Amino acid sequence: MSPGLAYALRCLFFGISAVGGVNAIVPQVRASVVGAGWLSPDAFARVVTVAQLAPGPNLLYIPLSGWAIAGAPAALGALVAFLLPTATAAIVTARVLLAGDASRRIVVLRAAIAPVAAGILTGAGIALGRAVATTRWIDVAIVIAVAALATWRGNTLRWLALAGVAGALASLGTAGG
Amino acid sequence: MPGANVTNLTAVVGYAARGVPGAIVALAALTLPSLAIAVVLLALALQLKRFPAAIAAERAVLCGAAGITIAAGLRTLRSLAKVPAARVRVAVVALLSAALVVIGVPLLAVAAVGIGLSFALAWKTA
Repeated sequence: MSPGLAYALRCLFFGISAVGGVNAIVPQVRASVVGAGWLSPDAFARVVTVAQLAPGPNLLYIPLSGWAIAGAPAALGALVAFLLPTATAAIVTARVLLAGDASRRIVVLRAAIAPVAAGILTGAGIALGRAVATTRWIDVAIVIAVAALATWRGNTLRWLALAGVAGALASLGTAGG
Repeated sequence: MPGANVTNLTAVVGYAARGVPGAIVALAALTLPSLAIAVVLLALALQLKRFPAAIAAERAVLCGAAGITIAAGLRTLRSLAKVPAARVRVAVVALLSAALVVIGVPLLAVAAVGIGLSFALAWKTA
């Protein structure tokens, strides 16, 4: 099986496992594409960086990884495979919720899911941090600093830009010194 | 719901307006223009590959993305903790879910265990 097709097929699974949002599965996607040898760790970092900088939904890194692996067909295949099951599930759920009365079970279920999704997101961020910030102290510092700053003020792009500048400056410092 | 929140919402609204074709058009309109922009940006970023500082910046942004993801979870928890009666349940369920994810349990399994426990606790107190 070609890498592009194999990646697109995995996106079927990524979509339905993205409880807590598409950012919750960044560690899983990274482990998958880097582990299979489809993208280097640096190439995946580039894809996530570009996807964060480009305007648009959070899931951009899913089709963009496909693009980096095998071009346009893999990008579109990944996008469709990711969206098809989740969009279908969302439409069906919305119809059930809107059609029925707001029974107690649904109200409780909604209240029950929120802390799980939040816990999964927090855990996924820590897992990604552990995977990418392995050796250099600056990486660990960036994970912690951005987590603290973005919890305080939720301006994603500003803190990511700051992280990029800090990383670049630190590398210049190491290379020059 | 699993998936991306914005795209799920887009699919639901598109479907409500024009059925399945509406959902497809809405999702395409949401994702394809930004994907095109991202592809161009990726090509530009590849040109910078020979500069070590650019690679360092990309690694740093991925570390930043980890921080952003942690923060997104913490911000949700902060707002959930505003309801005093729910605090213990939220803390127990969120800690358990986060710990399971960190030790590498698949997300679907974490969701099943977490939502099951959370539902049982919420059912008792609601």
